[in-house]
Order: sequence, then structure tokens, then C-alpha cells
Amino acid sequence: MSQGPNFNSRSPFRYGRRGFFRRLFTPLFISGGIKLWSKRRPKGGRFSFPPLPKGKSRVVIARNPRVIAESGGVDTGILREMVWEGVRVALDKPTASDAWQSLFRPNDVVGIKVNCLGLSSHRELVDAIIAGLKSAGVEEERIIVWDKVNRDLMRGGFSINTGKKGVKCFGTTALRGGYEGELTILGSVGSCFSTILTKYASAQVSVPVLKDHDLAGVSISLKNFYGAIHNPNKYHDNNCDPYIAEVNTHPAIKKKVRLIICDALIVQYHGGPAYKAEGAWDYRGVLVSLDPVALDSVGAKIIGDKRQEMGLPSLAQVGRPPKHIATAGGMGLGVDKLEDIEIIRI
Amino acid sequence: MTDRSSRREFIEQSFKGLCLLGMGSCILPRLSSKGGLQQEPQEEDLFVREASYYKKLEELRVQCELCPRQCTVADLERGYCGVRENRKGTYHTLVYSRPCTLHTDPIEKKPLFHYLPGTTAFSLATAGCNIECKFCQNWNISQFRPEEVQSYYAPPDEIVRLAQKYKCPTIAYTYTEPVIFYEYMYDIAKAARKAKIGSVMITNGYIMEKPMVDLCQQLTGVKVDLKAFTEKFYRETCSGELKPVLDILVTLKKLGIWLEIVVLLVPTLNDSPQEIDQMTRWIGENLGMEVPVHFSRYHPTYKIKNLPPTPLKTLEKARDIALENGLHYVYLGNVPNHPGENTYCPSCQKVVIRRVGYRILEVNIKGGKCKFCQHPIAGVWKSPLA
Repeated sequence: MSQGPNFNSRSPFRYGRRGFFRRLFTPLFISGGIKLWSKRRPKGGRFSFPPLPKGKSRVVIARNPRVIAESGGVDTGILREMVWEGVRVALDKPTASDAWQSLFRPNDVVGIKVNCLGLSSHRELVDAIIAGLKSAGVEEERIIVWDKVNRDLMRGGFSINTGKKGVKCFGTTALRGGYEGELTILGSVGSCFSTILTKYASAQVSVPVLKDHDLAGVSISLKNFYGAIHNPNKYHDNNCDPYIAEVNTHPAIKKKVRLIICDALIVQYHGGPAYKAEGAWDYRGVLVSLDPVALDSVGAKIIGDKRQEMGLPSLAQVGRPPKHIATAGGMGLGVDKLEDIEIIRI
Repeated sequence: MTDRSSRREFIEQSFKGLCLLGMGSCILPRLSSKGGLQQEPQEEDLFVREASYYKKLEELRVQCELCPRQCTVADLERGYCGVRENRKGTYHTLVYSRPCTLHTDPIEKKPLFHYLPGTTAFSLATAGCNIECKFCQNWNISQFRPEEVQSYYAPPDEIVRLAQKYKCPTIAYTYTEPVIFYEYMYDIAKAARKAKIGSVMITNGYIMEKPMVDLCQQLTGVKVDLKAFTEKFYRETCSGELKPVLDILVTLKKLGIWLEIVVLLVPTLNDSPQEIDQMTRWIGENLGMEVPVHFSRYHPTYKIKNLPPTPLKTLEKARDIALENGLHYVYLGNVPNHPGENTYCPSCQKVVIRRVGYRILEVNIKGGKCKFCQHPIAGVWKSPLA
């Protein structure tokens, strides 16, 4: 008769090895199964992004004159309708909830990269985005509203929240180890990237503001991620080109930015990036796209047309053409030519 | 037996896999006040001052006039250095009283070999730099913005007090690039001068003439890093320019302030004998034969990691060329125990200062002259403010 292991009554193996592991792993599998095989998980197995419409990139422009009330405040209900409808149309889905659920999963940690330098992303717009994320099952505690520093966020009207409850909101520099310890070299750019982008969030929503820029020409979606590197001040020569495009080749940006919703409630067509009333325009809109290059191209056209209307020289004429948009298109980051962009106005 | 081993292995691997799956790639940062957050400084109250050397332009823009980069900066934007910011048309320094490094170092570490040898320098730096050398050894402070590094609050009087406390006859502005914390450096140097403490600036020399001239009224010594002798190297490897640095060297010579030069040789990029020859001839003709020149060794770091450390032979060759061109005091840096660390009398060739690394073993200078033959040895041998 073979000698088996010497089990004693206190041994974890008193049920035998098979019994021990069955008791250990069964609860784990059950709880893990609830999370991993949630009924909200898209059917068909592995999660995948919905394909873009063939042949073109799409940019949705949603405008409503009533989004800014007579008091000057934002009508949050109307804004939410604009945002949700914009997302629905951009993704060509039957309902807005379908659109949000096609982009985000309940177990995502979603970073919302706002732009609070000067004319800031509106808090109300971010609230509408958060509502969309929640409709896809993302819990508030798994959402991070972020920018470079707390000071800019607060100046933009956001409340810093680092507690366990609710949507989190903080700057990269407020986080110990907020920047990667090693440089990432992308062409002529060498920067440490925010760990909110590279490590903590599995998905990003980019929320830039439609504004011109003193050196880059325009600061919209592509330039929004200058706020993700430790040394943006080193990359403003030559109208920030090719640096803006190169920053956007970072794998975390290419893979994790699932949606761009550009705040165009107020557009700064001259004098940006800071807010200047004399160069600001109540556009009362939002731009939605999955393609940051296409969105920037459309945004630059909006600014250019307004400058012309106001009798201002073009951005190229004043020595700051937004050439980073074409550079980004040439790098395969999106579609830069307007004739290849489907613009839908709602 | 084989069956039992493979089952055990399978379970072990499965368990490890489940642990990794549970952790996932989306670990939220610890954000409790005791945990992962650090205190952001109250900038407005402590570190922000109006900058000097700038002019106001239209539409709330400013143009910095501190360094040759002459950044034109829009409202809320910063200059290339990352530590000067335009706020509603007024340019501000963000690093006044905001050092990120405070240390006492041997003066030889700067390196200054002809300035109060054997003494210590109370050394400080803030974050930031107005160029970007791809081989920078201090890139994790020079290439970062002030809010991205841990800093102290240390107003000028506090720096002077600390220098006195640690018995340092000199304060050194070093590690990063002191041009960019000009206002802070100026005020410290002014307060230090009153306390009979000297100030030495360890700089890339990329600064406009007027601020340099003004600052030299408070300084007692300058060491300039001459990166190379070609515009190409300055442009491609340092994001800077050569000519303004040469102009400043000539200005320093005219002002009569004590000056030493360091050249860090990067293999294949700035170490050709022809370039060393042109450089050292220029130094001799424009600055004089008595300006000490240090050839220093590069080590792989920051954005240049694919080149080997500078061979000793390259350093020795550079020293030989400089001596052949008539320079009196030529040193090798980062090569402990090499004869090139010593100071030799240009007349009798005897060792007047013997060094190993930063340690002084022997000094044969009396009254500023070689003890052996009485030939004057250029340098600052007693406190310049005594």
C-alpha cells in the first residue's frame, strides 16, 4: 500500500489536495466571474472598438443657441443632450447609451483629460461626459478628471477630490510618481509622461477647448496632451511642430483615447490660449469625434473662418500656421484633409 | 510522480495568473492624504516675483531679455526654461526662494581649481534650464518644472545664514542653470557680499550681456561650461548657440572677474583634435593664457546613452593640444589620481597644488606665487571680500 502525505486534522490539506484547492478557488471564480462576465460585456467575446465609417473620419458639430442661458450660465440639460447626441451620431448608434457602451466597459478606469490653461473646459461639459460613462456602467470612483496641476483645475472651476468616494479630480503633479521615471523618446520628443495616462487609466476621453494659440496656431485635441508631459515648455519652437504630433504617437494616447469631445461653447479665435473677451466668440457648440486630427482640422477651419469674418489676418499670415495638424496626418494619427472628413451638424 | 509534478505546476501557474489578473493594469493610485499625494506649494505667497529683464508687448505678451533665446511668451505661458511665466502681461519668476537642491561641496567639485582651494561652497539650484544638453547629468532637475520637483523654501538671508552655519566662504549657484533663477541668485549674492561671503556662478554662459554685467557686481567668480566650438553641436546637442557664449566669455574677461572654463568631451561629437585646437587657440587669444581650462569626461546619461565614456587618451590629447597652444593651466576632470589634476607652475613646472579628486594634498603657493620660483600663479588665493 502506498504511503500518501501525512495529513493531520489541522493541515490545510485535510480535505486532500483536490478538496483544498476546490474550496480555495471556487469563491474566487464566482466573484471574478461576476465581474469578468458581466452581462454588460459586449457579446461575441473579446472587446473591440466599433469601426469608423469607411473611407472618412467623422466630426460631429452640435450647436444650440440655448445652451448658454440668458444669465450667462450653462444649461446643463441642453448641454447633455448635445453631448450625448453628438456621441451617438459620431458612432452611428441607435441610442446614446449604445454609443457609450460600445466605447467603455464597467471595469475601465477612465481619465478625462481637460484643458484648464486659460480658457478652460467647462465643468458642466465634463459632468455630461461623466453621465455618459456611468450609463456604460463605469462607476464614479473609476473616473479621474485630470490635467497637469491642481491649481489649473481649480482655476477652471473643478473641485479637487482625492478621496475614496466620487469622481476623482487631481493634477499629475499632485501624485507621488505622477510622471514616469524614464523618458519616452518619440522622434525629437523625449519626455516623461503622466502615469494617469500611462498606468492608472485604461481609457481616456480628451476634452480640449477650441482656441487659438500664440505659437502653435491652434490648441485643440492634439495639443491637449502637452498637458501629459513633464516638459512642454521645451517644445514650442517652430510652431510646436513636429513635437505636438510626436507626443501623440505615444502608445498610451493612440490606444487609450477613445473619444474626443471638444468644448466649443466659447471659442477663442484670437488672443489664446488665455481667455480674452475681445477675441472670444459664443459659438455654443461641442465637437465630437474619434479622430483627433480630423477634429483639429475642423476646429482650425472654424477659427480661420471666424478670423476672416472679423477682418483678422489668417494664422499663416501672422506666422503661426497650425502645421502640426498636417504633420499628425502624415504620421497616420488621423485624417487631416477636410475633403476626407465627414462633418455632420446637429 | 511525473503526473503529480505537472499538476502541481499547473496549479501554481494558474494561481499566479489569477493573482495577476486580479491586480490588473488599472490599479488606482493611493490617494489618501497619508498616502500617495504630496503637498503642492502655495506658489503665490512664497515663490513668485516679478522677473527682471523683460519687456512688455502688445496683447499681454512679453519678451524675455535675460538670455539669447529671447522667448516671446503669451499670457499664462512660460518661457523655454519652464520657470518664468507670463501672468496678464507681467513676467514672473516662479523659483524665487525655491531651491530643489542644497548641499555643501568642495570648491574643487564645481570645478574651480584656482579659487580658495580646499574650502567648501554652499551649493544650490532651482529646477529649470535655458538649454537642453542631451548628456545632462542633472536632467531630473534641470529639465523639469518647479512644481514637478521637491523644493525647499529658502529666502536669500536663509541661504547666507546656512553658508555661515556650515562655515562656507563661498556660495555656488550650480547643478542646473543659474541664469534662469537670476533674481534669486542676485539677491543671495548681494546679501552674501555684505556678510563677506563670495559667490560663484557655475553656468552655461547663455545669458545676455547686460544681466551678466549687472550680476558680476555681486559675484566673485564664474565657471563657464563651454559645450563645444561649433554651432552645430550647440544647436543639435544642446538646443543652444555658441556665439552668445563666446561673447559672454569676452565680457567676463573685460570685467576682470575670476573665470575658469570646463569642456566636457563627448566621443565623436565635440572631441576632434581640430576642434580642440581651434577652441584653445581662441581661448588663448581672447581670454588669455592664464584662464584655467578643464577637460571633463562624459558618461552615458539622459538622451545620449549609446556612446562610450570619454577615453582617457582623448582627454590627454585635448590637454596636450591646449598646453601646446600656450594655455598655462589645463586639467583633466573625472580622472582621479591623474597628474592632469595637479596645478603646475608655468615657469618652473613644479607642482604647486597636488590633488586627488577633490582632495588637496599639497599647496606650494605663497602670497599668490610659486613657492619655488616666485612666479605669480593666477587665481583667488584668499577671500576676495576680506
